[in-house]
Amino acid sequence: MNEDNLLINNIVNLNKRTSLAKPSRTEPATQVSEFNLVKSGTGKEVVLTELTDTLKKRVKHAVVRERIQNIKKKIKPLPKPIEKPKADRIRRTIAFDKVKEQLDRYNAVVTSNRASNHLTFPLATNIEVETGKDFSGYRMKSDLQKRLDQIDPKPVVEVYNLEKKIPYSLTMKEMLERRKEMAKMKIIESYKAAKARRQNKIKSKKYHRIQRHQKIKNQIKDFEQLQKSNPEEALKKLDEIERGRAEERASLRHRSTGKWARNKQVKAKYDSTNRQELAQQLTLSHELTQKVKVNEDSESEEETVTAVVSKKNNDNNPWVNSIKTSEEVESFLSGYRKFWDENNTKNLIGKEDKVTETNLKIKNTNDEVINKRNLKKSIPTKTKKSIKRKRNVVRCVATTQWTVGILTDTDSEEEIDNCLVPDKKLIKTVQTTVQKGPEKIVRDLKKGSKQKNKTLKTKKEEQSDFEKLSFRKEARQPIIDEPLMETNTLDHNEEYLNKTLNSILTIDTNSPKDNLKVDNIDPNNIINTKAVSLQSELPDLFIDEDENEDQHGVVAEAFEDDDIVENFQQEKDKEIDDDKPKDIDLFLPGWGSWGGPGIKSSPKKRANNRFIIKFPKNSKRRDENKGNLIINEKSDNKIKPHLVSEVPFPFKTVKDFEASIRAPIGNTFVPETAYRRMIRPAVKTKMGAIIQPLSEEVLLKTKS
Amino acid sequence: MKVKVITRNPDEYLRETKKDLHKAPRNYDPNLHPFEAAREYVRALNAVKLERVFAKPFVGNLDGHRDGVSCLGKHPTKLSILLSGAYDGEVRVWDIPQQICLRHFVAHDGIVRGISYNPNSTNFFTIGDDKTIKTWYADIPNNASEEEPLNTILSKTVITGISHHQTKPIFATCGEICQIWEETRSEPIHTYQWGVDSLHDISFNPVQQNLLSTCASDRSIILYDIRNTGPVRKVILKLRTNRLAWNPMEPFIFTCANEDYNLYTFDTRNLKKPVNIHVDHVSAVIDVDYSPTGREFVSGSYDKSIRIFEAGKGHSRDIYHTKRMQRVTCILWSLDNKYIVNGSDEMNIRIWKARASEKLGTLKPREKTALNYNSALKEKYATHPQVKRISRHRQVPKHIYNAQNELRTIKQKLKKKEGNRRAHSKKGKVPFVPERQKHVVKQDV
Repeated sequence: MNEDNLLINNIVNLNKRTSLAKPSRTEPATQVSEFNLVKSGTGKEVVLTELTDTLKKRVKHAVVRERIQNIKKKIKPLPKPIEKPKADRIRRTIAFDKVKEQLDRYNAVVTSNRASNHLTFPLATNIEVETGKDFSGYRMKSDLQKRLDQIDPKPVVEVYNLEKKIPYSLTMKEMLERRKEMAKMKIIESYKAAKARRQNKIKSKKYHRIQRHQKIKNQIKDFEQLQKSNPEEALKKLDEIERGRAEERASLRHRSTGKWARNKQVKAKYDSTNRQELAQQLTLSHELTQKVKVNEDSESEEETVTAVVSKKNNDNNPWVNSIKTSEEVESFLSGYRKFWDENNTKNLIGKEDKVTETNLKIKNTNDEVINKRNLKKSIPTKTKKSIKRKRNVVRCVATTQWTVGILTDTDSEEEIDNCLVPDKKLIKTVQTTVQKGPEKIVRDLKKGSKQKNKTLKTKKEEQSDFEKLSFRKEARQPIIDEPLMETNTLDHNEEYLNKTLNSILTIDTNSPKDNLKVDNIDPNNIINTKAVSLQSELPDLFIDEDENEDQHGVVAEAFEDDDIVENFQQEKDKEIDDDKPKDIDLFLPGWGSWGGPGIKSSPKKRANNRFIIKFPKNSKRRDENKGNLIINEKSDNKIKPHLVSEVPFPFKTVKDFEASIRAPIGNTFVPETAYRRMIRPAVKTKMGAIIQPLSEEVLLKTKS
Repeated sequence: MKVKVITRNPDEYLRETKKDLHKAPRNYDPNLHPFEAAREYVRALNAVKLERVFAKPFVGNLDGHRDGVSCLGKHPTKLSILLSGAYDGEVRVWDIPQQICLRHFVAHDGIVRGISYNPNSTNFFTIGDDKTIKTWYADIPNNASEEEPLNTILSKTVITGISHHQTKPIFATCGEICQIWEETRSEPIHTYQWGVDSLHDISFNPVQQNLLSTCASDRSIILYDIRNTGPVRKVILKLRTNRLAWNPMEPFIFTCANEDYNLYTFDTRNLKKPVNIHVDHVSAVIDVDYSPTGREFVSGSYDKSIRIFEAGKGHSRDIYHTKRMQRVTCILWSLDNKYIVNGSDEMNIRIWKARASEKLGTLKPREKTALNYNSALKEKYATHPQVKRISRHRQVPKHIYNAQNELRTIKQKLKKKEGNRRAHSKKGKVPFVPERQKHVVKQDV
């Protein structure tokens, strides 16, 4: 059957033109041969006019016909597509710009990595730590704990969050009200501040005294009221008073040690009023340091307590224990007064305590009076303090008319500090911009304003951004970018030999030439020239000329009798002789004659000029024309090869370079922590850890 | 009689527990250490001398290949494993610490041109002169006779290089054309062509992973973007580029090993001129690889030496060579930044330390701090002539030494000639062209 079909097909095809069979694609391929493409359909083109011809005849279709003709006129056919290479080129440029954009994202990461002095590889990636859960308290329970829990179960403690947020925010009305209230408060505060300021300015003593008295009266009244109404509060107040007393005891106020007191003491010999004042002062101090007795009933108790305390103290101190009378104690202590003063402030307080307590026993003064007076004295100091604080506040308020809130001393200070210490970031940016010059700054400013306006950056700007990102390394180190000194053993040796020989042969013959040049220069001129300052921080050893002359005169006077000039000349000659290079005698016995033990070479041959390399006679020294000077040219020969002759690359001045070298880094010279910090390696790797290339995750996620 | 007794507070000199360190009181007052600079200088000098004493970079040698080593492959997750292909079509898998061959088989007829693991290291791909891409299991089969490729793709064109995508199961090959393949498909998913010249090296950017670069024999480097239309930019240098390596930490930087004895570091965004030219080799540079830290790279040359360059510097910091090492054909820097492996013409694979005088193995803390201190001192005093002299002195083979002298004279001659020409021609007719602008011929868009 198949064969028949084939045959029939072939016969049928005999008459027709041979045409390509329509290809069928079996496999999807990226490259499709153009030869396999076939036109689909009959191949006859559709022409618009043919379609519209039918419309011509009828009036009914006149409108449609017109419209079609209009379209024909108006619309032009699509332009010929661009040639392929041209189109490709355009496509490539766009694609390259896109690639650039993608790569630009890494600018910040790369520059920061380049600039950082210490990097640890593999680079740490940001690991998000789950917060909010407290794992610190959790522990596995031991068997014993479990059993104990079974026996005695602990009550479950529920923790309530006390700082709950207000579930709803304030309404507009409430907000306005609150603001009004705040404003009122501020006004009142400013009034008070102004009043305080005014009062502080009043110098009248009388006024202040009256004020003080009033205040004390008020305080006492308050205290008495408190005693009745709120004994706990009263106790607290008492405590405060007690603390005031302690402060008083600790301080040297009213101790007749001040300047005023000493002046008074001098005058007291002749003037009774002065004496009285001093006595008053002393009594004042006594009063201030006296203990406060709240009730008369508790008096006896207090006394016993103090006695016990004193006893205890005595136990501690064997010296005091044996001595019973107060006078003896005083006399004993007075001897050591200075010692105590200097050494131990803490002990001093304790001892003085005892002294006063003994005084207490002796005097047995009236308690009530003391009580009252004590109150009087302790309270005013406090009020003063509070006033001071207020004054501070006032100042802060006065400087700015916009008062925002109540300022405490510390707060204001901190704020000022914050104002004074400029933002580090700001400094950095300023530094970088300053380095770039004014033009760039202007550009930056423009850019900044653009960013504010939320305009999109152009690509060119971004590129310049990368340049701007480049900043200096934290610590600068010399950069050596030189070829290695590569040598080959054989050649090296030859070279070395040549060098040494040359150095022997040439240096000394060359030096006189140099010196000849020096010879023509007037030595006085050399002295007059200014020394070149290296901008180094090492001390410059300049010698003042006037001083020098003075010294010269002094020396001349001192050694008038000795002939120092002669001596010096001798010394110099000797130095010159010693320094002179000797001739090299290359004579070897046996050259041109018999040699061996017992045979002496003839002196004639020995003196032969061939064997002697003579050094030029006219070698001149640098100090030849300087009569009063010996220059030792060999003094720093040993250190010379170790000294740096040029300022290495990143540094621009000697000062900078010296600064990088000066500070030691060893732990013999710097503390351990600093040492550790300074020897940290630039690149640290973990042993056996694979360092993966940078990943895209490093980039910050931008808000879409 | 008066007896004066010195009393001391025991807290100042006794330690609280047995395990505490003994207190060593030190006075850091600089006035008490007048010679601190001098002492540190001497320490630096000693440190640098010791560094040269301990500078023995050669670690070991892997021999077994029966022809020159043509290519090397890193294992992406295991530091100890190394792949190598030879000119006779043999592939070997090595265990570096034990220095043994784990597995070997003939993979191709003719030269094995490239070798590459896939990122999850289950398979590796080899390409050869027989126009095939073969996929192999990374695991060693039970029987050596069972060595059969997992998959073989017959390519229509010659293939000379392979590079695997950093994360995706995609790899790229080059030859007559650049092709992108999917691991599971037998037809390339993309084919890129720009010009008709053959390409001999290809490498994916490890960071910006859609970026690809090839080196062509018409002296050009072509960049491709596989997410987009394909080729994006072509830069033509004066001589052919042999190999190209991307900086793994700076995605826009790549370094290429050139036939003109130099290496060029480019910024992809500005191909008008190289960022840096790395000189020092005295023959064509064959291969280059970046250290995983991106701070250094290593290059192997036809002059039988390996040089290590710091990324930003124009001259090498070290040169490795041995008497028996011939032309270096391939080189790679291990992923832990510690070792350098190179294959050479004379059938051997050599393992080197990346830092010649580094002590291998774990270090005790005190030793570590001492070494750190020494290196800090060396850095601090690096410019002092004696320190510099000792640290930068290297012995090189005679042929390199002589070639260097020759090159120097050539360079001087050229310079002199240019100077003469400038002197005897109209002003401005012979302009001063910076060295960096001399090497790029043109940039094709």
